[in-house]
Amino acid sequence: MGVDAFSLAASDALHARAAAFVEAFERDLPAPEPFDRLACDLVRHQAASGYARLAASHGRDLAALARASEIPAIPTDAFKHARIAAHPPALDTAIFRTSGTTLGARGTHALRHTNTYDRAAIAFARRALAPHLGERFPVLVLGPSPAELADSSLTHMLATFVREFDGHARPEERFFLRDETIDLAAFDEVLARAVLSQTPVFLAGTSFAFVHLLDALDDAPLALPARSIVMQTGGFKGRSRVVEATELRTLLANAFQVPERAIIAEYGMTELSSQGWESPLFSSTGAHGSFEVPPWMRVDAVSPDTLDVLPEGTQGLARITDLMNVDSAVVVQTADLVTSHGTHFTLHGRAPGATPRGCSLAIDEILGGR
Amino acid sequence: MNPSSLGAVCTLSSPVARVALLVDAAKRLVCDAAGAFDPPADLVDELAVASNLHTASVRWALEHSLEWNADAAMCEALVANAGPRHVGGPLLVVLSANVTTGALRALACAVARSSNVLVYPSSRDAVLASHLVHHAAFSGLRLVESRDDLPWSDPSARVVLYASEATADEVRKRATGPVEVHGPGLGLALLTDDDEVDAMGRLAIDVAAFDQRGCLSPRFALHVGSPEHGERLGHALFEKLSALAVDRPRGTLDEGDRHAHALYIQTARLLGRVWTGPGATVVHVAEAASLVPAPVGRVLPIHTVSSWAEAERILAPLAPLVSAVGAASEAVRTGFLRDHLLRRSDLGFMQRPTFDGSVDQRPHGPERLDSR
Repeated sequence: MGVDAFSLAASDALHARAAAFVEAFERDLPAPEPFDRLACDLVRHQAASGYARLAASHGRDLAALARASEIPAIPTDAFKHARIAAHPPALDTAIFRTSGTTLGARGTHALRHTNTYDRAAIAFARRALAPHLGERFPVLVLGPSPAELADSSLTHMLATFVREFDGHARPEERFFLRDETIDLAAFDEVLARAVLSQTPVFLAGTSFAFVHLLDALDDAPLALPARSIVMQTGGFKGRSRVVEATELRTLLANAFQVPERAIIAEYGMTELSSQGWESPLFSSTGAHGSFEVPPWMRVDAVSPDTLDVLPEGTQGLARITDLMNVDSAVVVQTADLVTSHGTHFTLHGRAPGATPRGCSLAIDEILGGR
Repeated sequence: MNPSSLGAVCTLSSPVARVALLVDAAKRLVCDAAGAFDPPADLVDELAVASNLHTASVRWALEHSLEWNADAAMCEALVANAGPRHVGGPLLVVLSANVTTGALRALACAVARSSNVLVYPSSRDAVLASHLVHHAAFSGLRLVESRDDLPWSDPSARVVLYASEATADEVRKRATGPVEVHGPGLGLALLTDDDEVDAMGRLAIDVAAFDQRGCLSPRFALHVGSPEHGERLGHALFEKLSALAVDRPRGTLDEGDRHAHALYIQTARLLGRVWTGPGATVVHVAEAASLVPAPVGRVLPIHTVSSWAEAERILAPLAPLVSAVGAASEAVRTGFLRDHLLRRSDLGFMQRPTFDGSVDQRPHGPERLDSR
């Protein structure tokens, strides 16, 4: 494949190859082709998204790439300052954005369509959740609805889950945070039905919403049906008292009367089309802070100084190769500190920022407001 | 140390005399008995450790940015512009880990306003403040060893705080009296197609000083003109910074700095032309849609835009944070952000503002705070 201008037919063919990865996974078959081959074909397709310039600056020829590890990664910050898309804006059908900054620059991930994103998200979520919840289960979200937050990839993913796993045609009815207030009556009603039928639920919520719910409960338990799964997300912005994540996990487990292992996290970001799910979902020995990834997603640790890929088991910045990012950036560089172990990785949090010295503004201060 | 037990406060009643005394203390710190610049090696080393600057940069800063040679007229000008006099109670000065030389002016502004000044220097960089107070007896300055030693509940006390807004919020809750905040800022270089290589040599001095850790340090350059000329300026600036780094190397980048540099450079490669080496990084972005903030440590993005109106538009979200502009053309530096109170300097002098008041001329007083 050359590095020509955007070709709809080529894009469709690559989406089909990406979807074939998902289908093989769903059917427990081997991957239909080598990971590296598809990754390299994707980057050639994405030349116009900035890869041509990036590769040239590294002295690399896109046409000659043979391994995913040779592909320069596009930092998440770049999504704030440039359109990272192989296709023209006229073909966008979904645009996901990160939260805003002082500079007004929001990371923007433009998608030509969400079919590939949705299929991959559902397939790996099913693998993570079905052993606990079955194939169909109620999905309840303590977060803003797609109508309130249409450009959130997390909201989109959860709405997709509502449709797929809950069979609910109007996903917004399963989102119970409105104008930063929990609609407790509606939440109670849906939850009560699940409790009565002892149907385990998938309850996803922002830390902000969970803290408010805990405050409203005032130490009274709100028992979920057995085998329910609670997902903590940090993806929605809000104001609440600050509760440290591990403490919140304990508080939620107590409030919902579920084991702490049932309180889990998902690793995803606006700039990606795939997600990792926390390891306790996959094995009784899986630890919190460890995330399993699907076979179309590779998380490597890279040197924070050189961005070169480090051996497995070494801590570094997360470099994520996502074969579902068909029309944007197949390799994304994040500022998250991880240790990669092949099919799973350990998340250590954000890389430390620069120590403030002097009275000049740090980047975070410039971006984060006054 | 309990400030209430410190006894009588200073004896010099003239603000100008107190400021002159402090300047003289600075001179005695960095000059030999004959008045020639010759800072003791241990002072340079101490400052280098505290600031992460290379010792050569510390020496340069002490020679060119520390106002040890301010004359009487400058001291008078500083007193005139230091801010309202504070009498009837102590002036509580809380310093941040300021740039290597910043303590002199901050303390000079304080003694210009009060003969009763309690100083809490930054725990991370107390070097110069401690030396100055020690060498300037009778200036009205007294050091405290802990923030808790400051009389926060004294309603007659006024707080002058060099800190971020987060720290300021904590202090406002604690202090009974008014609080003035000197927050962090950033400098901006303004370039045109009239600027040539020599202007980049002068801009390199501004970028290299303090490794961009000062609130006057240029962190962006806005270039109005052709993208081709902007790229030429970028290349010239990189060459000048690289040459300058031979004698005055960049200081140590800590772990967080190095992460920020690696990620920034990778992002910049997508957006424009990048020149990077061991001593500096320069980026040229043509037809920029938004400013891309760069980390400190001799990293300067040059954004080419088509007009000054476009330059102000692209800068608008950051305009309140700008504390200094530098330009070779007087018309450019006085005309840009005309309504803002800024330090306006020729290139090469952004880090050497006249000794005539606080380096940062943005409003700091309670009036500003109340309106937020």
